[in-house]
Amino acid sequence: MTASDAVLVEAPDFAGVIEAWRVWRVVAGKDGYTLGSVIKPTLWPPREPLVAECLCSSPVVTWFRRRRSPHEIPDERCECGIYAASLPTVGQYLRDPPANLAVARVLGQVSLWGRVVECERGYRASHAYPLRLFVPVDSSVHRRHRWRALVHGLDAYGVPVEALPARCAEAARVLEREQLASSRHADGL
Amino acid sequence: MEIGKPKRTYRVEPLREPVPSKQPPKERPRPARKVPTPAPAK
Repeated sequence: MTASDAVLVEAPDFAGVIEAWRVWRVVAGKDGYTLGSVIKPTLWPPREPLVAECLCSSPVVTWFRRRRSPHEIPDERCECGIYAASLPTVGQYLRDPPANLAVARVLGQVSLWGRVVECERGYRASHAYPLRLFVPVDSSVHRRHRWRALVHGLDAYGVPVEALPARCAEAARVLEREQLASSRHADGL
Repeated sequence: MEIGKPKRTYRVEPLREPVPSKQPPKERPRPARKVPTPAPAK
């Protein structure tokens, strides 16, 4: 058995996925809409897990660091990984207008698995895929990319996509209230 | 995204596939409905 095999057979700390929230930019292409990270240029392919790479520094520095001290992705000492957090934390990223060739911004829940670093207000993971998407009423300022077109177009990810009757500025608060109400209902309060 | 300092690292293994399959599931053909045949007239 090699050292890498030994890592593969190690028992997991958690069975299932970790669910958290994210904001994505939406990019329009000839094949439809694609989700993209808000801060990094990474695009999320439909029906494929997104696997994290370390994008924290220039290729030369990364090459030099890997030669000296290769690290697993994500690593507690680095800032790499696929980010997700709580609703109040991600809500602020919906307020800025779409940038980086994006036509809209959406938010949603994301499944995280693989190697996951828990931080004070969120997570960094090695693997991720959207779990549920919400499209706020003013998520796009472009006439061609209306609410209904975005909801229909993001269907390619094969996860529930919901039109959220709230503006981007208040979307996180509305979803937080809905979550609280549904958890109270589940608890029989 | 500002998520603060790292606390600990987990190894997380999904119980079921978190990514929908590439091919939408094919609809299984319905079994032919059995029509009771009338008993032959005596």
